[in-house]
Amino acid sequence: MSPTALPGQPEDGPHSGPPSGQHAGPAAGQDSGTGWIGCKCCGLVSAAVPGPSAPQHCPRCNHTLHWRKPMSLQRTWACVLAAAVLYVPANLLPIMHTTQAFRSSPHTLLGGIAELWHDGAWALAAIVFIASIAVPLMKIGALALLAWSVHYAPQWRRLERARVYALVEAVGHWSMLDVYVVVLLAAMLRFGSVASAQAGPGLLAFAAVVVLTMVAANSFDARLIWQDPENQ
Amino acid sequence: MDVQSLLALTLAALLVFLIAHGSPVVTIRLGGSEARTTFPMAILAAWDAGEYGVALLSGVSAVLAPALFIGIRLYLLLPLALGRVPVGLAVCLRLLHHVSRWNTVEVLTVAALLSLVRIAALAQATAGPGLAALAALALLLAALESAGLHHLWWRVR
Repeated sequence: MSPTALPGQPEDGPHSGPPSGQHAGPAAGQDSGTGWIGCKCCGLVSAAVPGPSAPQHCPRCNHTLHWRKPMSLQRTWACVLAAAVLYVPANLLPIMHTTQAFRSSPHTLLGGIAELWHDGAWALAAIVFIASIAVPLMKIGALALLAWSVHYAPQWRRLERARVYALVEAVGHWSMLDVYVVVLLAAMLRFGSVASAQAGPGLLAFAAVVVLTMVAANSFDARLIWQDPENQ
Repeated sequence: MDVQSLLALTLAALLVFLIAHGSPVVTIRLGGSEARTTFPMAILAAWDAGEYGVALLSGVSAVLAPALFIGIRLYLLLPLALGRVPVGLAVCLRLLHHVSRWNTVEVLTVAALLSLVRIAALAQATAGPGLAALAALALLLAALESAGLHHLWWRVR
């Protein structure tokens, strides 16, 4: 997905006019200045229909067009805060219980990394640490910073903020790593009589953190980074 | 990349997908018995154990998303290679736009390797053909993703 990679279409020109024209009222302040909306899905640029809340659709792919995603900051904050709250049980509660020789032992996220480290698998320990601890924390922090800066520091380091957002979107799903590991381990050991493993309550919290941060990143509208303060 | 080569890559991805999820990722030997685990089996086991949320999330992101990723592309590219425009091209392209966000095959590959290492401490485990297929699938899907389908938008009327 690259909304910037828009092929030129000189003979056709941008599609203009809404599918339903009855919303054409006076420009409601926020839309003045920019007369064009890029489609997040197919990349086509269309003429913006002035009006307070006209639901406009892309003439090519019928995706809903938004000058800015509605309630973008509210949704981002809601998901980020929920993820931050759930991050605590995700780390404190065991994500897995293993039973070996009639002795059950809980495993937390950090405990699993420490085990790998003590076993000498330093590279693996580093990968799991980055995917399970560093990436979710970094995402929560980065998204909170991005959402905060839209209002309180709109002109501060815009290019870097746009790059941070691209990074957050790119690395987001790597946190699924530990979820898959526990699912696989539990299934592998199911048949064995020597040892067995069950998913713990922390895993669900952790999975929720992963999904919530992905939804938060998706809710944030990167165009807000480039918005001028007087245009808000 | 033209439609023909995209179709070839997608067909290859379909075959590799079937191998990746149809053959064991890891084989465990405990005493005399042998247990093979495919990833769909692992998801079913998690579901049976009452881990509905985790099973659903894993199923959607590691099985359903890549399946749709490949299936929708095949549905679009087969008629296009024959010179016809498939019905619902725009809807399918929009669906693909959402599906590719949740595709996590490359993460699953690393997770399978990790669980192999961690299980080796408890039992004798060997990598199955599913693991190699997962790695190949991750590469093929990345190639398809980067080739993109943006030029197909110009066929939409």
